[in-house]
Amino acid sequence: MTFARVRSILGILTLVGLTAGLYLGLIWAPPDAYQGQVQRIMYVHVPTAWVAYLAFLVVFIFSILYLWRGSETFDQVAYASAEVGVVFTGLTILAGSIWGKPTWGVWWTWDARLTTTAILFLIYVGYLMLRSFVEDRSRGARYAAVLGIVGFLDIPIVHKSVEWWRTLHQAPSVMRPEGATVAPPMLFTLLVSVAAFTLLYLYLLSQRLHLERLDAEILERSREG
Amino acid sequence: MGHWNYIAAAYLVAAVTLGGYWLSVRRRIRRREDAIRMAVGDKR
Amino acid sequence: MNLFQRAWTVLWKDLRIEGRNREGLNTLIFFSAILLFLFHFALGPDRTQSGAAAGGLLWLGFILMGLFAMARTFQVEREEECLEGLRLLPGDPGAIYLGKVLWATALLGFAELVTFLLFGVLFSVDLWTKLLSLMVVALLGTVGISAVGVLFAAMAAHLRAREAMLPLLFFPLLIPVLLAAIQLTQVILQGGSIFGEGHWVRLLAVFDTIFLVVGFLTFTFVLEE
Repeated sequence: MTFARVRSILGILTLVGLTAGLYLGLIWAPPDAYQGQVQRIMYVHVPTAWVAYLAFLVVFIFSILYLWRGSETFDQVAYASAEVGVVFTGLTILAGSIWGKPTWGVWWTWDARLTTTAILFLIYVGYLMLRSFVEDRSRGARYAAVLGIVGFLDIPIVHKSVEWWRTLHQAPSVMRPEGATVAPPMLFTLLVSVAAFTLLYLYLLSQRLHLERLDAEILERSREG
Repeated sequence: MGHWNYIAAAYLVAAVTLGGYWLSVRRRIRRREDAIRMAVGDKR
Repeated sequence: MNLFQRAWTVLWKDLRIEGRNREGLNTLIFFSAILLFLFHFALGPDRTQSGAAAGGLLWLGFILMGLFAMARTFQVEREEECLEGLRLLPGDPGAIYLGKVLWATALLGFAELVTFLLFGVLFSVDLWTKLLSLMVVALLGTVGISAVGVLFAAMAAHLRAREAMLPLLFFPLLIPVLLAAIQLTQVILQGGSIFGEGHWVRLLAVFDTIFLVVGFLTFTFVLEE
């Protein structure tokens, strides 16, 4: 019962946060001096990117905990967070691409951060596939935990390598979306959006975790019956 | 001036993706809850 | 027996199996010869073009050969339930991991040496002075491929659609290795020295170290029944 209450409180807080974020981002915040109105996409793009990385950090931590302690709850959190993380990573790429078209003139550029995020997406889609492709549940959990650890440790190396690779193959110069100076009202809006999306992450995680627990309960019952 | 169509597209894509994901989790939860309720009902 | 003696035992066993039938090596070398022919056809007779793409194509070949070599390291064990016997090896299963990584590196490294020689002959590139540094890069990259590859190859036994899943899981993780190795190989082929590209060498070394340690620590969870 208490878990259900936590979930509904989180849901309400998320709704309030997102509404505030929408108002601040679309109406209250001033347009950017260089990019104009289109910079408002930042209030979606940056928070989703933040949540994506946060989600995979959670996968990493709970994968270690699971292998160390063997408690099924840790594995459930890791799985739930991975799925939510993949959704947010996909959204980051989509929103970034929509932002890229008017600012850079192209849908896709091999920018270090963009490319790293895309590789991240591939790694964690692999994580989800791995889980669904192993019959035995506890074995799937162990395999996934190993990938959750390896994948997260790989992120900084991927980023560094892509960065060096790019300086080598001079692509047409692009305007860095975050390069422009950020005015205080914009920073405030961004912070509110990040907070709102973090709440949304926690809410979705709690829902997804609830689903995972129900699955475990059904499995338990079918074993008994 | 403004590229508002791109802004609308980005916010819409975000709303549809996240909303869609939320609905899919809710739907899966409801299906499990029904299954459990039915199993309990059988026993009685 | 200490850790290294046990790792050596596993390596020695695989070396002897290979010595008897040479299945792995023969297939790999034949495979690399075919790849070199295909490269030539793909690039056309223009020599300058093949020179610019050689590093990338060679490593694309090596990673495909790596996929084959990884699958092979545990395929041998699946036949006749050999994995059961391997589990009986006393002490930490990390020794099995080290032995398999060494074995995969040796097998791939030898095949890569042959590929370089064939490449030199078929594309009339004078490699003799460059062969040593090429092999240093090849081995650094191959240790990385094996460190990650062995971990996932060991999972493959319990994976549905494993032929498709293996590359899906470890190609994205190996992108930094690929970028670094391609860059270094290209520099060497164009007459440069790897000492001018110290950061790429360090990146390979860091990648190898991190994933050898992670693989060593987590292998026991992969092998567990």
